[in-house]
Amino acid sequence: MSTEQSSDSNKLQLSLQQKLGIILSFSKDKIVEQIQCVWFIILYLIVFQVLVLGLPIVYSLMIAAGIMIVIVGLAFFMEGLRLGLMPLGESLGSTLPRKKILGIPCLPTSLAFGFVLGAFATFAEPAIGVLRAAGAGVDPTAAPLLWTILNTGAGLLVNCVGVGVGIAVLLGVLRFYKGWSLKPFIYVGVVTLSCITLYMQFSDDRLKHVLGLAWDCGAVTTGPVTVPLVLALGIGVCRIVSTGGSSNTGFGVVTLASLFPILAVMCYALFLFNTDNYYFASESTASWHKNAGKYGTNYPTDLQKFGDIKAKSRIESASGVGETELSWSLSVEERKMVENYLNQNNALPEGYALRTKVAEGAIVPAVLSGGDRENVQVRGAKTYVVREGYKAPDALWNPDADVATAFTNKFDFFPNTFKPLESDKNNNGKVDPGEDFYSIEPDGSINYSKQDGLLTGPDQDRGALEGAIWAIVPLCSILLFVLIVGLRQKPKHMDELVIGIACAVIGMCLFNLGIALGLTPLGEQLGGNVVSSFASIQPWQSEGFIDPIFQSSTVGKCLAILFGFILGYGATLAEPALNALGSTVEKITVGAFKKNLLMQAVATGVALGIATGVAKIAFNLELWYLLIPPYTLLLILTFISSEDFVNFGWDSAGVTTGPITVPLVLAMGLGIGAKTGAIDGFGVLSLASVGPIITVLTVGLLVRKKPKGNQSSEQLAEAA
Amino acid sequence: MNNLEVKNDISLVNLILPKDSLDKVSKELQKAGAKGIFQVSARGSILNEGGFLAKMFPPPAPEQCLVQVLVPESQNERISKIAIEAGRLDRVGSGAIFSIPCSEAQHSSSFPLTEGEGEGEGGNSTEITMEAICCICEKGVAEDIAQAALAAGAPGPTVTFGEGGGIRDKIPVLRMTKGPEKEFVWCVVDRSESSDVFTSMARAGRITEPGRGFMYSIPVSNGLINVSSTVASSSHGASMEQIISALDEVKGGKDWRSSVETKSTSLSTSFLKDLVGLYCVVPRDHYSDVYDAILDAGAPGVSTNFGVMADRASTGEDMCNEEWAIVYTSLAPTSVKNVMEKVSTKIDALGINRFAFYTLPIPKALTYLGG
Repeated sequence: MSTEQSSDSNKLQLSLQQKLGIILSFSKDKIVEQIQCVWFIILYLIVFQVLVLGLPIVYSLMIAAGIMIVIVGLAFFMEGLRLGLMPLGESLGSTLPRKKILGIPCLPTSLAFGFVLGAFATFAEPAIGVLRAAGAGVDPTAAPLLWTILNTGAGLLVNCVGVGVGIAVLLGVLRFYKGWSLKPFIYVGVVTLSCITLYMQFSDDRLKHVLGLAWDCGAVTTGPVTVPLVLALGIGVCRIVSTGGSSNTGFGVVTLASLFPILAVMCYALFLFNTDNYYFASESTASWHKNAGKYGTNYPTDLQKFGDIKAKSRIESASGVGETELSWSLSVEERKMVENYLNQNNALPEGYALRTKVAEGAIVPAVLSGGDRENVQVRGAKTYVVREGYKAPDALWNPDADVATAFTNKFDFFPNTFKPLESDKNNNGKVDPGEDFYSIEPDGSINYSKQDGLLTGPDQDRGALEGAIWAIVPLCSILLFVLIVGLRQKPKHMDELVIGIACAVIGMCLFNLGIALGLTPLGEQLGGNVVSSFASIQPWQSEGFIDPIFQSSTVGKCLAILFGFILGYGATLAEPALNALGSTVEKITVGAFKKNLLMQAVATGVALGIATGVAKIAFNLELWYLLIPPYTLLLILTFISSEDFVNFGWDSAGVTTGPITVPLVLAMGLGIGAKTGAIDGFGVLSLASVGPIITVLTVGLLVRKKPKGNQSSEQLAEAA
Repeated sequence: MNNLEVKNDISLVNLILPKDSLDKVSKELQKAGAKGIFQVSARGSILNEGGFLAKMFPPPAPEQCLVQVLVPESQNERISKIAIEAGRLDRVGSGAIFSIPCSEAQHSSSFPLTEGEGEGEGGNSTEITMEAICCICEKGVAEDIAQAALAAGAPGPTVTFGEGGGIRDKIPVLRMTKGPEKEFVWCVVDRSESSDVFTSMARAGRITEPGRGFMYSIPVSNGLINVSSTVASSSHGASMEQIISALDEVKGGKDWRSSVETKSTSLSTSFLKDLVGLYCVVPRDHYSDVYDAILDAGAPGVSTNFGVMADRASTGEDMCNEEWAIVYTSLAPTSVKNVMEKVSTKIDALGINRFAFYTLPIPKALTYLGG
């Protein structure tokens, strides 16, 4: 319009050199900022692997390149948040309550918009891939319901979570308008969830196994794009509708968006369970299923036993040189090589050694001819040739890593998310006997046709580029559309918005790629190798075995827990969503509440949570032991804390489990779980989101104590 | 077309309140007939004297609110009294109130302004006892400046967030490398201390270097400053403010403070003298137009504070805050008329019907002057 024309006339003209200077110093600042966030976790991981575990870093060049890309990607993404996503969310939020869309008053439209936004955010950033990774080792016979939800039910699971998040955002927006406190929502939510948890824990074993998935769903649904957008939207709305004195400042939506998906997943599980619509429940004609009785009270122990057998065999196959066949065996080629060498040199080749197994507890003494000394042999002792030590690959770059595929996934924008199962060969939409992991013969016996029991079916492997576009573009287009067409409000700096969104897409894309190249391999090898503190393992991507660092497995597990603690701390500080939350808190309180204090509190909380989660997997504890007490404690803390800290604290729970923490933590959880026979790797993430709430509320109580003291001294002064 | 009402006897009453008492004071002010109560959320600054725990977990700065009301001179005293009573501002650490006489104020007819008869005693407005210092700086720097001000003896510097620019807005696309976010540090000090506080704030913020910001001081006619600024450690029996105010009482005034100050902190740079601060109050939706208009009219830099007008008397079904912005620039006295005219023409062209201008005298200002 006229404004632009007139201001165009006195625009400054910069020379190319000046422009470059501005851009260079700007990008240097931004990258340094990200390095400050990331250096701790990277350095820690490397130091731990090299110095504590004493293992080399495999594919070091690829990992280094990946980390560089992550840093650049984060810098772009944070800039995109600052310029594009957050201003967009905020200006939309501040316009919504004041204007009518198509003649409909603001409240209904805002609510509808909130629902659509929440649901859409879930579909844009489905964290289901993460959950499936955590459930990778789920045994369909041990946990049929969980297995069903992660396989055939995965599409519906996403829908359920989407609806859950949608309702959460809707309620959150309604809360802003009505000026309701967050506390009652928390009380009701936590008590309801706890009750259902206890019910599921004790009513039926099949339901029990879904608990980990449900609680983790709450933790992972809110991703690095959704959180800043929703926060900005809430702040915009609250700028308009809140009264000056209230502390209703735009937080709390993320909290609800973490609680509702848990409920949604639990309901989904109960629905499937009660309609008998889960793995093989309805197709089966076998008597064991027919006679299972209501709530599985007559569930055959046979099937449960099979799960136990599987779990036991997993423990045996994985833990310790003494028991595994793997470490006591050689491949055929190795055997031939050793045989040849032995024939020629009468000695074992380098890298191989003899190990002896003692079968019976008896000895065969043979008295030496001239004295009181004896040769002592163990009866039935067997000697094997085994590989000694291990050999890590020399390659600096993983030859299997295909950067192009990781980047674009061949531009497959709709990976097989909602496609039928792979194992469903005749495409009739369900798994027929024979296509499946196991089938039930007419006589009721079970025939295991596929032994691995790995998850099949829909996958979420979008490439880095598609992932980024999916996560950002649809959401932003909806927001822009509503803002410009629905509300007829033109953003002040359209160019800034567009560049910001582009930055966010580029950043997210690089970030995803960097994670695939750098953080995931680093996390996987460390997560796998950290198990070597208490069990004998084959190091990641290497040949041969290493012995446990500590002979006592409890001490070793404690080292793993300590590792998890520091890992959680460092990874959380690097999370972009937490950074965004911190800046928002600082902005809302006009800098009164420092970003750093919040981030430190949250990071410590996540560290505690992850350490507990590792302990859960390492010692195979029940999840509800670890969830119900903290949430009870939280109810008390929430009751005595001030409203604003309740808002920050509960919101920070939703932002902690982001794209940096999850791959690192999951790899470790699965690695440890495989050694201890845990059914699944769930639970770590949900514990990681309880921790920060506790620490933030505690810190809140600590720092708020002081001003109170001040007030009392004022009253003293007044009285004097 | 310019149906602006010009008034010459308007005072700007400023209040710095803790968040708890904001609603109460605003309501009392509204009852007293004040209109256009402009609230900007702010944070206080604190000197942390606490022990180890307080150092480990630094307490968050107190959340405050800066309230500004344009009041006719005749009503000034009455309104101030009501505010002091409502917020109990005479207590230590309860907040501050001060008023600044405007040189001139113009407002459109539908702008909410406190009614009042033209005649008033206006006796105490001539007595300038204090000075308000405002420093506009880059985001993140305010904490240092506020701490410097505290160290120099200013009671409770208050920080607000806002936007600002000048040269930045003339750069086409690369302007986004520098965010518009600015921080504003406000403090009101006794005349005797003002130059020391001013220089130490300027030092801390390195205001005289390019691209660092702008600061100025405004004479304040009367004020009552009781902002809490210390977190006392439990080892002291009384907070520092209590000790100082007790000393004030014993000495019978605040003049002793300047005699205690021995070190001279003069700044070698030359100040900008006798500028005029032009403030324009508009609804937030229109602020960017006004902002651009002021820049187009030739002002070197503009800054904006956003806030809420607490006129919720008409709260019916939909409780909505009305967001306003104060767009500020400082100009040489000769160009004020010119800029004001240009901007009001522009505002008329855009059809904005609620706005007001007011100007304040700025005897002293400081920024990077080039060269």
